[in-house]
Amino acid sequence: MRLFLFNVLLAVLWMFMWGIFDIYGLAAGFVLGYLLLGVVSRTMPGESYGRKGWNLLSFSAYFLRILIKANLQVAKEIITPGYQMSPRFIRYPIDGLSDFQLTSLANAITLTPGTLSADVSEDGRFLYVHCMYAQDREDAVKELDELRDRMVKELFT
Amino acid sequence: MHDTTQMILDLLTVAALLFGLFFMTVGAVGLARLPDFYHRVHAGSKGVTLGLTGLLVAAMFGLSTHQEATALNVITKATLVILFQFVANPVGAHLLAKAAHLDRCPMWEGTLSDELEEDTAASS
Repeated sequence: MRLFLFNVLLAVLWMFMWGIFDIYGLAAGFVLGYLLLGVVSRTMPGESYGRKGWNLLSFSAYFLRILIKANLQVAKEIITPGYQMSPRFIRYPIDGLSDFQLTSLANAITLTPGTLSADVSEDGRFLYVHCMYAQDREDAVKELDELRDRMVKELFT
Repeated sequence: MHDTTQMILDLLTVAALLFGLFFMTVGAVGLARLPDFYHRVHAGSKGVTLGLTGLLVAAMFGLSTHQEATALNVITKATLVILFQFVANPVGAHLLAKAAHLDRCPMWEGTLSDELEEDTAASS
């Protein structure tokens, strides 16, 4: 986050240096700043800034894919006659996530295949999820696990 | 602007429009057709999010051939709207589902289990 702010600062600096005060100047400065910080942050302990941007891209691609899959699934259910759902409310443990992470996870769950976040327990330990296709409870939980793991690993490291 | 570029942009616009309209329609039909409230929220949240994204992308392509200032204006605003609706839409759906469950909105008879109900009953 600190490095991201630094990246924005570098972009603004770039605009002033060349006197290009438009969106292209900002974009060029941002890309160059990103490359620079990606190299510099390799020498710093802990975080790698270059990897972060890549992770963000990779997560976005994954998210877009499951979003479209979710919609095709709902579309198929709606267009074909009869119902093939096997819905349940399942409880999903969310220990160790911060409020911000929890909100992002709940939003992502709502937008991914067959699941809709419905409630958080009073003590904040469980998220209740309405699953459309949960014939087998363990499979549904496994899908949520994959989403959570990718999110924590690629978005919040 | 060359004719071919214009044609490619037009094709992209039409494709994005069809994509968005399809999911919007599916969302609307789903609201009428699915068996209980929770399923309808599924259709209303997923379908409309992707549908609106498609329509906004179509607007970006379609208006990007106008003069530069208009095009930039449209593109930045459409991007912001897409981002914000990805945050706002699921939150609305979450609250609807939560309120419905608090109000004991009836579930479809095919519902297999309701662990939320079990836990609320246990804690009260």
